[in-house]
Amino acid sequence: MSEDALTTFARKRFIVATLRDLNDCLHSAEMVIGIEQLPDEDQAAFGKLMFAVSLSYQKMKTAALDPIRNAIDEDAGEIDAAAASLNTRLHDFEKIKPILDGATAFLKVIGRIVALV
Amino acid sequence: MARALLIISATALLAGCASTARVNQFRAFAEIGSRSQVAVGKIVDEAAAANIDADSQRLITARRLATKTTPPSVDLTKEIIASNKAVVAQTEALAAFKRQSSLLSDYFSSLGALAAFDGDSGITDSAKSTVTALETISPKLKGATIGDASVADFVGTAVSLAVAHFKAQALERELRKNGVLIERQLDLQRAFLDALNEDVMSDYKTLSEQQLLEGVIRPFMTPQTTLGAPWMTERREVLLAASTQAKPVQEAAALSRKLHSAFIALAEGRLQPEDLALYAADLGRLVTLAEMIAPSKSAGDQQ
Repeated sequence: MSEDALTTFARKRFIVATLRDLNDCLHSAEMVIGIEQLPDEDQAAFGKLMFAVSLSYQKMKTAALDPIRNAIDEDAGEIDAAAASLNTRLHDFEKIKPILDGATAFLKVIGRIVALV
Repeated sequence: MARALLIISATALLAGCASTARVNQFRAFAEIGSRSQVAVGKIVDEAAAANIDADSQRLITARRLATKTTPPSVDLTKEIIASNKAVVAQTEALAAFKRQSSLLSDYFSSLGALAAFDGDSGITDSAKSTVTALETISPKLKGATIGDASVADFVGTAVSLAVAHFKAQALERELRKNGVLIERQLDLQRAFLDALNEDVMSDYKTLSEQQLLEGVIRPFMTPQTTLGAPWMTERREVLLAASTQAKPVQEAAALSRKLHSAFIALAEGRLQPEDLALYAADLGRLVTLAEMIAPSKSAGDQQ
């Protein structure tokens, strides 16, 4: 399950990486200074492009997380149950001490009786 | 009787030593696992904040350019609503990973509590009392020694180690039952943190590029502006921050990869004490970095 999820995740992340690189390039200081030298119409066109890339990047990042997020959600109940099972084992160990204490007390009594005999 | 007890005790001692070492591995791993999950939770919060800030910064730049014409090249209302929805969706997606780290933290805490169960001293005392009672029954046992230690001391240790053996068995059973599940979850977390690292680096880059542009490059490009100590300070801060801001996420991603490998090694019984010491050092660094996380600074729209 997780292998399938990770494969899909890796494939989607490839698209995210491309959008991220484009975003980084568009918003680099050098690029912004360069765009600002262009006529107003061209600057406005770049603004439109920046809005589109930024929104696609944000949406794709979320979409890429979906497969592994689903895999996590599917296992959430089992992790919770595993922690609960461990706590039960811990309580089992806590029960050992009184049992040993009881056995010890019994042996002490036997020891005293034998010593008296 | 003393000889038979000596043989049984020696056998228990050998098995017990191996069990104690194994229990200690579980204990150390569980502690590292639990604390690292707490750090991951903090880092996811920071990543969500950096994502929103960087997106805001990109919107500011895009808006400034898009409004160079009248009317603007985009419908601004539509753009801000769409961006808000997308950012909220991403924040919710990140919250799922925070829930995962919380669940894993609970799991490792429970694993650690079982491994560190502090019943040994009480059980050892009980065992010593039992031997004292037996000494009364058999006077020969009273004088028996194993090396420099009395039988009472030795049996006490052996019983303590036997408890370690039972604990090791319980932990091994747990590993057989849920090991695949935990390994899968750690692998998913590793993939997530690797991706988050790339995204956060990009977000910080967007923010620092903007700070560089507004606080350093533009003043420098304006001949009328006098540059002095404040400009130098701003330049130093921006350039240094660019290389250190993403450090916590980088460390978390690296530790996550190691935790995943360590868990496989733990399950296969080949985890070395020196490996655990290294992971503990990595974790210490990560926790320090997570605690140092400061809110991101945005340059805003200064033109």
